[in-house]
Amino acid sequence: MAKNTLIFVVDDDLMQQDMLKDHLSAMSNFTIKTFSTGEECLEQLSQNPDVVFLDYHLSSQNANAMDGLDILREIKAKNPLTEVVMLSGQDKIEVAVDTMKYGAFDYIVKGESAFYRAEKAVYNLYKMAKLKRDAGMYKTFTITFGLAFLLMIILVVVLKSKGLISDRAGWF
Amino acid sequence: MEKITDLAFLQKFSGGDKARLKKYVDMYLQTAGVQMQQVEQSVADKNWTQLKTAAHTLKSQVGYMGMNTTQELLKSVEEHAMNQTGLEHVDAKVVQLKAMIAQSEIELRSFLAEN
Repeated sequence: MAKNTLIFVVDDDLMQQDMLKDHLSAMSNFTIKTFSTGEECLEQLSQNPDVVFLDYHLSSQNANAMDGLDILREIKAKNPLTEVVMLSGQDKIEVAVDTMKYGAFDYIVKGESAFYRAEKAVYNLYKMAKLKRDAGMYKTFTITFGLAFLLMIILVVVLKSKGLISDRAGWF
Repeated sequence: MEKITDLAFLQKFSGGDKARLKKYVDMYLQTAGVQMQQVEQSVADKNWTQLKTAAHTLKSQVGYMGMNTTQELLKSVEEHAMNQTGLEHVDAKVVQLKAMIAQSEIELRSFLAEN
């Protein structure tokens, strides 16, 4: 994740939206933007949020509003690197499986423990981003070391073919 | 009458910040009544999809006010609406809910006035 983490919170329940925003703000110096509809979130997707906390049911204010699953699909299609954490009032395994199938990073059931779970999800995302960075670093190191070794072998072969070095050590 | 609300969770969540706690209570007071009206209207219109949505939204909010019995009742109304079963029980449950929401409003307004 980027150093200045941008988080979107999308929920039509303003109290839930505000509570999550307050809780995440207390965690770290995140930039947090809130939206009451998924459509508003999609319009701002060019800002490349690192994480989107997305409500599964987004039709309490407007029956025609796109629901969370549709928004999740759009986010993953447009910004595959943005991680989406789904929020729902339903503790149903099939709903959770559905959201994971479309690329959600986590599924959180709303309630008192939801805020702790959200905090944990952000922590896990940081951990995952660090692992990815470390894996990239090791890959670069392995390639660099491999190339250096290969160059050394080529150099030895060239020098040997020109008679500049021999197999016998000089002190014998 | 026994108290219906319990702000223990919100007090802990707000970390002792009274202004923050009062903000959440105020948000509940602004929306719960409206949501309850939507529940009643949906029942009157027999609009079960709308009833499911209204009950679902109100369910989260009452939970944060520590209203566990009300939350269970809303969960059962949401299930009646979602599965369209046991709809004959919905009217009586909505009457109960209306009384619970009204009581919560009295208790929380009094909390705001005292704090």
